[in-house]
Amino acid sequence: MAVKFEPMLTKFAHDPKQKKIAAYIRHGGYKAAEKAVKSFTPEEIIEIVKKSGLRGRGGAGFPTGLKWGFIPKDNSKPVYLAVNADESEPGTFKDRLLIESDPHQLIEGIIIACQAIKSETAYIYIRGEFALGAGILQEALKEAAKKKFIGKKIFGTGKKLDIFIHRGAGAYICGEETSLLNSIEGKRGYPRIKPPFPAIIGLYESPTIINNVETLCCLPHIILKGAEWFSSIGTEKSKGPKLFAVSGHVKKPGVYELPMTVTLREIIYNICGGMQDEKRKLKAVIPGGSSTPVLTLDEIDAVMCFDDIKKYKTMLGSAGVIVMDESVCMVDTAINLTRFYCHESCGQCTPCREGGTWLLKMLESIEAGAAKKEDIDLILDVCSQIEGRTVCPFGDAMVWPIQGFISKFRAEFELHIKSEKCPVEKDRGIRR
Amino acid sequence: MKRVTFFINNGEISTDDGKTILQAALENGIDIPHFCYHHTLGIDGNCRICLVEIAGNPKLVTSCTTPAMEGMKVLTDSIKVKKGRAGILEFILLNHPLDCPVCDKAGECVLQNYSYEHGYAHSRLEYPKEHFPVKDLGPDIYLWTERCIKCSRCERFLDRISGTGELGFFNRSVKTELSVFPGKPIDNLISLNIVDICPVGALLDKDFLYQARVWDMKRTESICALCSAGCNIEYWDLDNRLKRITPRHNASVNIDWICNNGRRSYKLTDRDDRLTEHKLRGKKISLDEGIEELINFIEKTVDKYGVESIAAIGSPWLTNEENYLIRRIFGAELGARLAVLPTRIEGKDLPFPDGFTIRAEKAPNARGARIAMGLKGKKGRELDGILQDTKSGKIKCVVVFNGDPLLSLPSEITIALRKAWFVAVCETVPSGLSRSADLVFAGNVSTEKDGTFTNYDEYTQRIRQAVFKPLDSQPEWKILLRIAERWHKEIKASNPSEIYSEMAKKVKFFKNSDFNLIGSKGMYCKE
Amino acid sequence: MKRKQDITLGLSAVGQKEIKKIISSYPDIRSTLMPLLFLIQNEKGFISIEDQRSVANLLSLPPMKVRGVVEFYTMFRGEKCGRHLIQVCHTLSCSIMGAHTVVDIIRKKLDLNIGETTPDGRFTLIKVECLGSCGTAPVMQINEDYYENLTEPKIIEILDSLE
Repeated sequence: MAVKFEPMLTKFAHDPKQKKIAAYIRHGGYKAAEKAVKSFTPEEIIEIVKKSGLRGRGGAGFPTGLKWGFIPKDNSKPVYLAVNADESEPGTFKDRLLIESDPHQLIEGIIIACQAIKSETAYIYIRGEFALGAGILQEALKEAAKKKFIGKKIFGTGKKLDIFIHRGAGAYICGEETSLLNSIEGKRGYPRIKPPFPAIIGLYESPTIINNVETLCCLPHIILKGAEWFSSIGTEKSKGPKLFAVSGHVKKPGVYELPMTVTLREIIYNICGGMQDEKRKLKAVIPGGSSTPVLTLDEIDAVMCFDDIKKYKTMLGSAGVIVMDESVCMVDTAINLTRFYCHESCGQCTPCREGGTWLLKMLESIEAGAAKKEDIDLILDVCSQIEGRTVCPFGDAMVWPIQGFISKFRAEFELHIKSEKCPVEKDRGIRR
Repeated sequence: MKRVTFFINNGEISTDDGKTILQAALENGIDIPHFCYHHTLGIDGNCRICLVEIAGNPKLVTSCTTPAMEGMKVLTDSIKVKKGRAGILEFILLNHPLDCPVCDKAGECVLQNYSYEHGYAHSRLEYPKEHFPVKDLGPDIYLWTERCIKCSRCERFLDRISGTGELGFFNRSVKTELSVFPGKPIDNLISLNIVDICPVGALLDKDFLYQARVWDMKRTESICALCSAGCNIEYWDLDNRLKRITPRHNASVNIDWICNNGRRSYKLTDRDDRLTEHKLRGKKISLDEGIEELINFIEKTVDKYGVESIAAIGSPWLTNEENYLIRRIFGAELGARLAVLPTRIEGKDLPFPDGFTIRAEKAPNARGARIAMGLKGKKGRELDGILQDTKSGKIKCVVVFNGDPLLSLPSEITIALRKAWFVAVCETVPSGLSRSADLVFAGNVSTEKDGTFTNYDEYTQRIRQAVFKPLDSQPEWKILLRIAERWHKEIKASNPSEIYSEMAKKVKFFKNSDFNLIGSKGMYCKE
Repeated sequence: MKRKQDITLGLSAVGQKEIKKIISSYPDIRSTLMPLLFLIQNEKGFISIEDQRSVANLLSLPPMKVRGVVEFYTMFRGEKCGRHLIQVCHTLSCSIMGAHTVVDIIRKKLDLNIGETTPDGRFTLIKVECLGSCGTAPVMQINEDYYENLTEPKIIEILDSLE
């Protein structure tokens, strides 16, 4: 991979002064916001972002410019921007870095997005556990308000923009966009039936756009350097730089900004220094956060973009890469993730609420060596009864990993059953 | 209103644009299985059992959330749908206790019915189920929490219809649990409707707990007699003992509801102090003997003092047919003074957000009684006049047909009537009136007879006999027909339907209507 | 019986100023529910039934709707807990990097089981799901602070430093 690639989202992530507005401005900050507020029409901004090929960085990969265009042209209600900073997908920790190290980049992105969708009010929904990040953002907002980049009469124009922080309180489901809206409205985090879509009926029955933190952070760079520049990075359908959060059994876990031409092999061995314990072989990799089906060691030449990776029956998701060596049992991993989903299920709809715990119990039974041969197919059958039948994609997110583990590591599941115990020598020790 | 035409199982269906597949199906009598949808409570889409297949769509969709589109081809019984539906049922039953043998809802349980028709016969679960405690939710309702399928109908009812919001869910995932807030039980006037709309045996009426199996009871469609709303109901009786009331759907009257007081009103039928015998001056007599005595006294009095000395009083608790007979026998045929007993007004009308209203006027037939008695207007001073003239001695004989089951008449009436020389009263429970009367006939309450009531809105509806009268007591229309027969006043009728036809001939209000046409839904007679 | 609206929610003067600020941040008062619950919890340590009733009163909500929110989000506590709430992440990345051992070390050191509080009210230990810091696994959060790249000596040092 010969890539002349310069990080831009995380360019100043290691500079502790970047949190302060003086440093941010010195590094070229808020120029793009000024342009967006003073020199572009909302339609022009939408066009630029559409041309750039920016796709949502929260996990769904939906084209951002297209999403913005869904707001009805004849709308007369206030428009809201909700920033999805609920980052809770296991394996994902990139938004945390952006928020804590470069909060003004996010604020500038919010200002630009609000110009595009004609919004005067934005809510940053940040997961409750990110108390540090919420504090840092609060300080940054104060600084931006002092400079009149937000508030009334921003950048010397008659426009106004208020940005508020709304803390989540420990619910992964609130990362789902309609659940996020219900949470802001002071309700239990139940996803809503779609249609109507949030761009039509969102917060307070008004049009609302929900964008991920990383997506918004791309905006200042697109405005300043142009759509062509952004779309020159990456593959044909996956433009721009991407943050990859790598964790697990690698020497150098962390957040890496890379173009989406990179392969999983390059990430693990070139970028992250290879396996943490060189005596242990690579066994499996989850490519894009816990909801994405696992890849075997034979599949790590997958190109980490939205589309190519699909041929391995998985997806890019939130680009949260979890690397597992041979000390990890796949059944145990399936249990770990299923327990996560069962704990986080909102409980609103039948298949996810009831089926999830059943799946967990069956998987635990396999790990305990107490299962029957037929149980693997029963698990797959229950998965198919949940998939596609739920109010929101949580049900799919819960069953895809299980289906992935069984599909790629069926022999390991069968060995558990045949030998009536877990055949893997698990390492439960601290690996630091 | 723009219409949309589409297909369900190759049959053409037409509906208003904007309606969902499920709504269109239900309108056309096709039951796609559903739990959480209710036509008054909005669309929630949480149970997921209403899955259908749409041609050209690889995924099954919930019919309750999918708008019907022109030309859409919907399948409700393909293999894919059957399997999907059975899968959802399997999930619902996963943690649902196998309580049917001890559950009140058995026999009218939607889950039971769907499981039998659409579910698997065996459970594949080999692990313990989730357990929750039974809860006392307030004065009227128990919650068997384990049976709850979290459809949220009850929560939505209490939020949107009663506006009181007592119920809600707490916790999440498989630990999601329905409850009330500590110290705030369910306590509102229409709360028991949530027992009806609960599709399973989770919410139970304390009053009906373990009383009877639904398949052992007889159902009778009728109208509640507690206020002038005229809510459509069903009486349920087990071997002639009334066990409960449930509301019927009627969009023009009570939507789908009945108030808690109305729901309990069946208890009035079985009061211990029901009059069971006809009595003359305290001694038991037969109906004919009593009628003989009445006719003799009236004729003697008329001879000496003229018809102005006789008065007959009807009742807002009696049917149109009964009030008409009073008017026909004592008014038209005899010429006596006529009036109707006063209706008790309790507070003000209580409207709920969806239009369902508990009426302040606590009698079922105040409008109908006056109309059938030929009295003009909604209120009148006829009774005042009669009472005054009785006190002054001008009126010597008064016949009162009082149907009030709650003994709520003001005592001035009893006091005034004591001045008369002869008072004949027909009642169902002993009040001051019958205690001081000369002749007492034992009458029937509205559960024991056929007839019609006309509500506050002048909407006329049928009541039907659900149980048999106690001992010698008779429905008032029978007593009146007997009086007519013994008095040689020819009335060509032998049952309420025929009385209605007679009434329709003579009373303009009922002219264009028919007893049988009123049927189960009722009608505005003046169309 | 209608209770008088307690617009102070039993909070300090500083807290009451916050209430006003929170209310002015939203066009609909129900949205203030979660921030108000955080406010109460920060000052009082948890959100009692009484407090839930007061908030419901202030926002003109049926109290069960407030309870439903308190008991939906895992960070809201309806009961008191230790001064230091130790939340050890046990989701995948932390799990394969030693979360089990982290829990065992803490349990041994404090003689505590999951969900329990030390008799002196100092620590409560619970397991939580992904804290969003997988690259520095194993991770734990104590009250609002993250402790990352945990090793045995580090864990002991952290626990010893907390009063």
